Amino acid sequence: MLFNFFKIGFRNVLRNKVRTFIHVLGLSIGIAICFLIFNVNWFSHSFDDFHTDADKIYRVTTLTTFGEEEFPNSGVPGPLAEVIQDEVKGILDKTTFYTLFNTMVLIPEQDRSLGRNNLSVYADPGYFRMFDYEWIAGNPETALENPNSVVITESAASRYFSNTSFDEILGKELIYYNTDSIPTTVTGIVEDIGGQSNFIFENFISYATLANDEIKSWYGIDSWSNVNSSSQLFIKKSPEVSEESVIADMMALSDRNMDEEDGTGRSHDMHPLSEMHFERTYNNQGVSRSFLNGMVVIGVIILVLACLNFINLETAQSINRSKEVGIRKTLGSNRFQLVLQFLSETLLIVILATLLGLGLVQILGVAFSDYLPGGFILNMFTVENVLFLIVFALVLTLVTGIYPSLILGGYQAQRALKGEIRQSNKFSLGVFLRKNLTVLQFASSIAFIILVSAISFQMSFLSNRPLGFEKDAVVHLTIPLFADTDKVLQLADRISQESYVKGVSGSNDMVSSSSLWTSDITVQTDSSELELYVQVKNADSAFARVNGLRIVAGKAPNNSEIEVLVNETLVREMGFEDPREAIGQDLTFNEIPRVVAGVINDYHSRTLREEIRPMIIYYDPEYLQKLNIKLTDNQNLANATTQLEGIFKEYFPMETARLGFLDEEVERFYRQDVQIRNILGWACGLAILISCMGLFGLSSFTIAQRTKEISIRKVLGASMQQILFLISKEYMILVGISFVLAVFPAYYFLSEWLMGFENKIDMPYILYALSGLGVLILCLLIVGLHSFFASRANPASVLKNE
Amino acid sequence: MIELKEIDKFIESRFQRIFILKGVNLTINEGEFVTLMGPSGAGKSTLLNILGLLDDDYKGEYLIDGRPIHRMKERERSALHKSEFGYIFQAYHLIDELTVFENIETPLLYRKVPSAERKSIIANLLDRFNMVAKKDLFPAQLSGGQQQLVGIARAIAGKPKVLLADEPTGNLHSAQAQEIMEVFQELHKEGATIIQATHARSNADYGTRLINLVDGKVTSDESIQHA
Repeated sequence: MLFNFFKIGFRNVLRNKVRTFIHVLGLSIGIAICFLIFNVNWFSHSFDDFHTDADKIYRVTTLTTFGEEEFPNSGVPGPLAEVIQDEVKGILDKTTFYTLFNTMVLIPEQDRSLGRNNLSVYADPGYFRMFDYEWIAGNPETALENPNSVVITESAASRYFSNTSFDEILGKELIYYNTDSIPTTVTGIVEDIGGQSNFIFENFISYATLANDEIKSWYGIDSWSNVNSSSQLFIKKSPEVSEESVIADMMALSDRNMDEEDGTGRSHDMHPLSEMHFERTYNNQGVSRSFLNGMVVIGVIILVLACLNFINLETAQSINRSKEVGIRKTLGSNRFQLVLQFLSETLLIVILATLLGLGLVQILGVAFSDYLPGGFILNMFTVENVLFLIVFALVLTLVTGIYPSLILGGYQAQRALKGEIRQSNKFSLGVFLRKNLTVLQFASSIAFIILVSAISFQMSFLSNRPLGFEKDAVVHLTIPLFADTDKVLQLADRISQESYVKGVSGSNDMVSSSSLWTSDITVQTDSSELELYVQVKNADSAFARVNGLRIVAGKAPNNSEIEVLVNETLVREMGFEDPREAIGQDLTFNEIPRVVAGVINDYHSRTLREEIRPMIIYYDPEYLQKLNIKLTDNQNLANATTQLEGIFKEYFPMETARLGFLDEEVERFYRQDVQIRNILGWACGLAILISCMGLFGLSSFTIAQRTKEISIRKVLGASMQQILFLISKEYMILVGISFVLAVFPAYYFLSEWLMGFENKIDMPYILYALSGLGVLILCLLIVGLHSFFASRANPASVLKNE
Repeated sequence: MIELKEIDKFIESRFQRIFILKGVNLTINEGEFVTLMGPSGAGKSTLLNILGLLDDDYKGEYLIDGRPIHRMKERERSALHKSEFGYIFQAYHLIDELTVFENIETPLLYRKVPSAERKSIIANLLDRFNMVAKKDLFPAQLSGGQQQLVGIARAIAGKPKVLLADEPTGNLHSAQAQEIMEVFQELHKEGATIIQATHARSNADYGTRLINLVDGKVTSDESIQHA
């Protein structure tokens, strides 16, 4: 019997090509998106789930509060990590490790350096008990016992010592260079971590190396009051104690050891290992929960739209199949068998859509590759994917198919056979539902259009806003940490002599970046002292010229400790009307008296989400971290950067040159916004496509049903326009209702989003109207086309058949 | 075997009841070939629907083999429906998406007849009506008479005791109609009980009993003697 069902289903699918096309395409888009999102979610949730007792492992975090302000930190104070197992009940094991930033690996034997990376940590022996690594060489028990030992991963080992057996590598010397050199001996080699993991480290230096208090103090892990995010603590909790009790014990421990400071609060929390990927990770490869959830919401919306299409069209067309229902009922079918039959036909369509969807996923994967988490690879035919697809197809079949099937199965045999089942003028649930579903579809399309256009509007508003500096053709070069000042100045001088360089300026930071340094200054006025909170940059006198800042009054300072630049906002805060009045003003910053040499224009030193802060630029050559290099016009950028790298290598042969472009830096501020816009853009396009397909199918059907009415009206003398209006009127009302429904969520989301910007457009109400109008026009176009053909039909031939 | 007592069928309209059938008393025995005749709207189709258990919205008693229908459970009635009745329609009502073979097969599927048996039943029927060559065609590819033959084959495939035919020749021209009626006569000779509704007096001549219906009432009930 089932075979029979599928056979007739298949023939229906082939016979009704438009219907099949609409259903399969719509559903496949929904399936493809959901499949992709499922995979992204699965991927994101599969990190570090392979460790033994992974469900018992927690990361301990710290929350420090100063008055109202909260400073969450993924690290813990060093002493807590040392004593936690003795002082807190129910901890089976713990490990602490300290992540090292920008650490260079040197191999003395080969006189070779491997550049800086963030793959080294100080780890205690507990690390390899807590997390599952396979040992290749060395003793797991003792490898990290002694100071100046190091365990490296297999891939690191073969990179450092190619063509050497693992046993021979044991005992070799490695020097790690962070700010000081750390000589070590290799005591163990482990396989690379097996599986998706947040633990990306390759070099595990024994924690015992941090033996004396002086070193601990340097790393900021010597006191209870210091919290450093590098100092990580993981515990394995016994199932016998609750999380609350562990947290309470930790808090008590911390309270006993903390000095009471005014307004400072401290608390600890523990986060399951499985949550780690959604929090702060060691290489910023984590994903945010809200991003994943946003994707799920969009996927569900698209899928729901596709399902609505299906339900809509099927219930509308069910009248066409009433005859078959009548025959089958007289031949002895019961309602359940009929429902089963139509469900199996739905399943057939869903299967087709799934197959097409799997193809679409490939396209989506490419289109969305920028928004997918790093390291994500789509493996189609894993066990969980196959299961997902099967379950998904069945659920989708039930959800979409059950209502139309019940309607069909419910027809009365003798009425169905007589063709008495027609749409009546009375209230009918089917028609009511159909109209509402259509309204829902249009509402979501309109809402998407409003959002996407408003976000694009705001983005172009931002990108066309004057920043106050020139972002083009400025390269920034990162100076190695603790580099010799004279060498840096020589390097700057050397670069400035290149023909393609217009100017060079040393500074602690780019003219505009995501970092922020604030401090307070004291301004001496006639009678009193004024304390002001300002943004600070450290830069030499060429800074304004290189970055295209305007000097509004005074002059650029002469690279002295005394002279500073201030911006116009600060001038106003100091109480001057005219920037010229501020020249020569005395102020104290960092306990050194200084004098204002010049005033620069207000420019956006951070994203345009924020307002412009008062700012001073002083000069201290000891702490320069960036060289800002303005290139001459029309330079080949690739060429220039290669040459700059070469010059950098002359001065710092052991280091890798890190170059970047200012305009890219500025673009990065808005990367997330661009992502939101692009993803919503896609969603919008798909929502419109699906809604239009649905409308196309539905209107072609309803208008076909009204052909007779149209013909009679024509015979009675109605003009083409009158007929077009007659049919379109209903759809205009539907779009009107959809518009009202769409406005609220769109307004809510947009005002939330715009709230985040200091520089923003006014709520673009005109876009609302335009979006609604756009959808109305699109809708009328589709309906109009159908009604046009319907009204063109010759009434004589239509009416003859009756 | 079939007994109707005081059957009323009416439509409740705002001010009055409009009777479609009123006070119909009828007994039909096994092996009869009954013709229901009457003008349009006389209630022939309605009576057939009631007889065939397609319509249960009526007043009065209906007994099959002495068992009252209106007191049966849904499941029992459904089983009876499958075992007792075969239907033939004026407009053939074949399923357009199924081939001739599959159309005949459908009632057997609903009766859960095993595959091998199904095939042999259908093969016999196709053979009997000379349609073996047409078994893979779709209804739209057949003439009206051939479609009605498929309809009859489908109706008798499940071996029902009673065949109900509503204007079986209404859409056919006279030669085809004659052929169909001859098939009916043959089936009757083999022992089938047949009840047909028709306008055409000529069709009644094939039967054994003629019942005239006018405005929902039985006006005459006579047996037909064959020469």
